[in-house]
Amino acid sequence: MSDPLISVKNLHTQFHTDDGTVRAVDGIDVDVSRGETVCIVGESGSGKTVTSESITKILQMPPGDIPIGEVQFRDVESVRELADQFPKRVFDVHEDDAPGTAGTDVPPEEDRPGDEKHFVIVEERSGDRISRGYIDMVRAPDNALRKIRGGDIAHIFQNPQSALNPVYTVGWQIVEAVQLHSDDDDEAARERAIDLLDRVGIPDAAARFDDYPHEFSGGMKQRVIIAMALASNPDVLIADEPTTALDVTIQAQILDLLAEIQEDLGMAILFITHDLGVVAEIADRVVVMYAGKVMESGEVFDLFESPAHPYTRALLECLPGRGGDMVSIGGSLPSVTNPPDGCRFAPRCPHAVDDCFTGDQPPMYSVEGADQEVSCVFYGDGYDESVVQTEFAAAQNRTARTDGGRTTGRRAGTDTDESVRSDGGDR
Amino acid sequence: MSARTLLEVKGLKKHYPITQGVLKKEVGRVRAVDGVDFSVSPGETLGIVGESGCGKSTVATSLLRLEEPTAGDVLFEGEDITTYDKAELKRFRRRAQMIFQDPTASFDPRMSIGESVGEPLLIHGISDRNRRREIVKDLLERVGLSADDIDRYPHEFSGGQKQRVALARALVVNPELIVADEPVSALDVSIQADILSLMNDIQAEFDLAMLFISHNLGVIREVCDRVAVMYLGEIVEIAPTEELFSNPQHPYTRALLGSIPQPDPRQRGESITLSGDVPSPSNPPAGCRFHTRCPDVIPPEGYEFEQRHWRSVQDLRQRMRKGPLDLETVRTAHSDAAGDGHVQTAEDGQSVLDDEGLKAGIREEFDIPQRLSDDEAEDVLDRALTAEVSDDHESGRDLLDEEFQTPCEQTAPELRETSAGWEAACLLHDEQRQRVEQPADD
Ligand code: SF4
Ligand code: SF4
Repeated sequence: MSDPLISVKNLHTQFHTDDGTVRAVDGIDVDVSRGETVCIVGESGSGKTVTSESITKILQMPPGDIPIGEVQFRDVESVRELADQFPKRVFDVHEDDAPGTAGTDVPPEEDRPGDEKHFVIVEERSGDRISRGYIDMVRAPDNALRKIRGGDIAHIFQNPQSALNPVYTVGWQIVEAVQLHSDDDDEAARERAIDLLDRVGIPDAAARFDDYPHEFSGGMKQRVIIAMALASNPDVLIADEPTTALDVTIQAQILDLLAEIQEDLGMAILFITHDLGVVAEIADRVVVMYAGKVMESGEVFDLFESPAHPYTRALLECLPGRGGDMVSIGGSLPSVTNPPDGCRFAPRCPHAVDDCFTGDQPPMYSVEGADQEVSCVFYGDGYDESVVQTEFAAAQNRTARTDGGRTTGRRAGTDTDESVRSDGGDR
Repeated sequence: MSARTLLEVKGLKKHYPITQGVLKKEVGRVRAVDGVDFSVSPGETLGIVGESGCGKSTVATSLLRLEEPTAGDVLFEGEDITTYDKAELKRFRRRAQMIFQDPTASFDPRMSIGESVGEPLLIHGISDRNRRREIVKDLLERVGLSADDIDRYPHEFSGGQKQRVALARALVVNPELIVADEPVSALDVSIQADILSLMNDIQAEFDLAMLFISHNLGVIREVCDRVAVMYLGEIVEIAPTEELFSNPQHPYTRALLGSIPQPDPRQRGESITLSGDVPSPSNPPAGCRFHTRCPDVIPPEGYEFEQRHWRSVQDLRQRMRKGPLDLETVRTAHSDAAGDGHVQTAEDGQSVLDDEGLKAGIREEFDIPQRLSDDEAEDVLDRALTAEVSDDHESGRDLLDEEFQTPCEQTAPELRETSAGWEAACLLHDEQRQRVEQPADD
């Protein structure tokens, strides 16, 4: 199997605030391969948006900080280019096979090659040419990141307004994006821009070239943003809730469009959403996040067919409008500054046993017979996983709580626990 | 639920004038709500669903006279509240409470929850502070909070909790009607479920009538007994909830239901995709307002279109009515639709597309096949396109206008009972009208 294009490894993203350190993303792994759509799904505070913003470090730093973790971007072209540009910051794994001289704040199990200044990691050369390696985005300096952002890795966001400059015409902005990544002269760049606008479904693209952003509807603006993102022929598109602000009929159009261009261009898409319906519509692989941790990940059909983690089940069962009774998860998100020991979901999980409240988040166990991994003790040795593979609501009723809360079954007491939901995670 | 009607809305309209110049001369109107009728009984929840700009929120604000309706009657227990004076209106507002999407905006951050929730009691003459506190404590518990929360401040509560407080404040004056405008849209799904169950419980407990406005059909399904679907200021279908979901009668309802992504990957790709954006309510399309996007738009007599292609031809026709086509786009982005051989090299070395190439490009841009299955329709289309690319836009446009009219743009369908047993406004259900009013094809 070939290497993933993006590998997020043991990522920790934190925000230093007056109330303490918010551990928005607290040690997660995510892989995205070429041509594949990976959806990160979660509620507010899950860390899904922060994860997406950590990849190219578009988050504010400070207060943001990535003390631990690696984001590998394995595009050989970029590795070669940056290796030429930053020769002093290249680390050749083969020349120096000694274990990484890890910095003080890097845990020992995280055997990262080179030291803090190395961000171009070369793993193999054939002759003089680099044939395998990656950019470590976490260590990469700003001038290297700028080349990658909006080039090999493009972003689109929930609010297209914020990504468009209101004082320039739409055409001018796309031409600028085109020329940033090519040597096209004005005439050729204009043609390419019209082609892109037409490609993303803007009617009368040439005639609208000189219109300003405010002359476009919300859905059309998102199309313009997609056109701008495509201007650089990116390998990866990171889309953070790009359809959440749109009406459903327009959302359906944009999802169709993304699927189409992905097929045409073979891009990888990392799609951040709170909506399991959208996930089912477009994902190849799914990552379910909760309180800064990955609860479960897997192939989309397997995951929807048999959700392995109790939280995934709860999320599916609480969707309004399925017919049947609605489930209430009860309780509230754990504290982001001082998360509890053990499984982050334990205080709200009807299956929780003693082991769930101690140690770290359970490791990712693979699920037998499925392309899925899950962080739940019931998939470990000495446990019977079928216990948690039941309806969340039924389990809640069986283990009617004795913790003084009014969380019994679906008439649950809700989000009323003592801690106020902190929005330190997602913005 | 009782058979008695609590609220009856008849012909409600809310237009906003568009003015120009210093004299504020009216040059047009935004028809946000353009004649809607419905009623709600005690203990019943009526949902209003639609996309942004359909007028659903304006229905709420104008029926409560938070803004004055342009026309129509709003009967509350048989009395027309549109004729109420200030004092009467104040009394009515106590009986009809509103809940908004953003609970944060509706609380004064400097007032404790107890003061905020108890304030309406003070206004309505309960001056005994302890009595007020007792009532508020009781209500806080009924909405799933704790009586001890009474002295806390809004910022100490999460979004879901604030919406509970908002409910408590609405309930404190013993209303008969609650109008809730997107009350759970700002909340996470797992919290939505809690608030929706609470609203269901409270409604049953207090025998309230509820008008529940949302863009989210899933949410509507959880709480509503009946649903009215709005498009561009009008109700296009109104039906009992489960029936609407299982057997939608209006093409727009079908599209709306079909656009919701289902949490089941085996159903992917089955969504119905509507073309285009919602037209402006200041200039709604003639006839059926949905005809510019309707996948089922009725084809003209005498031609055998494949429905999908008929929709595309309509899109082209509507575009041509706005003015000459944007041929630069066709040349730039659709130059290879007709294959090679249609690109010629001009004297200055530039390559240009010949007329056949342009026509093929236009078809590609509008998703029209290179040949329509009906020969006569194909002939009309080809002639129109030939005119268009030969700088004779008017003849092309007029030809399409003459030949490819749809009954849907000539007749505005009315909300009428369908064979399914409830009302929808679509000519496909109104066969008689169609036969009578469709122009004879000659
Ligand atoms: S059973 Fe334990 S480990 Fe598994 S989800 Fe529940 S609390 Fe977490
Ligand atoms: S009247 Fe015509 S355009 Fe309107 S909904 Fe019915 S078929 Fe569609």
